[in-house]
Amino acid sequence: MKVLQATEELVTNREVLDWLQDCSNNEAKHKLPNNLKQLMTPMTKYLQETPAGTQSGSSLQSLFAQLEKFPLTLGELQMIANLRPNSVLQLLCILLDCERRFTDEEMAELLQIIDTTLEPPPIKEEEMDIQSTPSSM
Amino acid sequence: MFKLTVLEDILRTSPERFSLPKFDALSYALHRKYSNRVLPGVGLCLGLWDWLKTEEDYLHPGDGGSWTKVVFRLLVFEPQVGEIIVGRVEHSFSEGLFVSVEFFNNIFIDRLALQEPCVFDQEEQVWIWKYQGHDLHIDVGEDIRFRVVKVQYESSSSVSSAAMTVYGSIAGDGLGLVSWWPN
Repeated sequence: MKVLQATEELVTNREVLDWLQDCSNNEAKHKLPNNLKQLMTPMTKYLQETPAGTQSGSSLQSLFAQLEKFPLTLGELQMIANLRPNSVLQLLCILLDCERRFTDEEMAELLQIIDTTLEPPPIKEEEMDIQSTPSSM
Repeated sequence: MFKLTVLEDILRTSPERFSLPKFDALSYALHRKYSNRVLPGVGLCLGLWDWLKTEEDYLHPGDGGSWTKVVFRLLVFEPQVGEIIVGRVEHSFSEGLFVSVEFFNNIFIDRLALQEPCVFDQEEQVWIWKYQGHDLHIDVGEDIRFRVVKVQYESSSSVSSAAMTVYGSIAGDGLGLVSWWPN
């Protein structure tokens, strides 16, 4: 075994979900080994609860096309797709040195594009009762 | 989170799978060897993304299997330093927190990488962030947003028993329990 290239390209959560779907579609044909099957169930469960659970490939493509004008790294684009930030605070978390690189208007535009292009994330039942939070105090 | 890695390997197809189409048999051999295993310096291997190259099959004297040299792209889970990930608090003890993402649970957040000031409640076995006079508990089972600070491999002599540990931090605005920071 030889590693020819450690990081070829980054893959979004949505693409991994599609890959898992392909795997289980092929299951009957291929007979998958157990070590792969053990991985598929928890991975599908985790990814379906992330924003990728409701995303479609075409909305991601449209998102990346619209974000081309911003100087974002591939890792940052991957995180935007995976985490679907919907507040300035989350954007500050994801983008290194965000306040120096982008003006307030640019950040607002970025969030606007994300919100209008990507589907709303899956809703979790427990999130209904939001406990006391720093920002509401 | 996820990335592709290009690998070259020589795979063995065992005789009981000679009846399958060649690439189905190769794909089985590949997944059996790599899926759910950690490769040091690469990450947790998931499975085949696509084939890039295969050479002719050959035999070894005294071995019933067929050997094929292949180049392929492997789907791998390896958090990148600086990346933000949402996981779930799995276990909490005086040294810090363990967090899981369902299919991988070796994510550790050191007590020094929590929000400041944080205290550990021995009785309840829970970390509490003292935020402006309020007690914010980091309960087991809650969703937690963390930043990756280090990925470490412990490789012993045999490849199959290598382990990957992801070190995270929740010190910073927007990090910590997802419920702390509503939109």
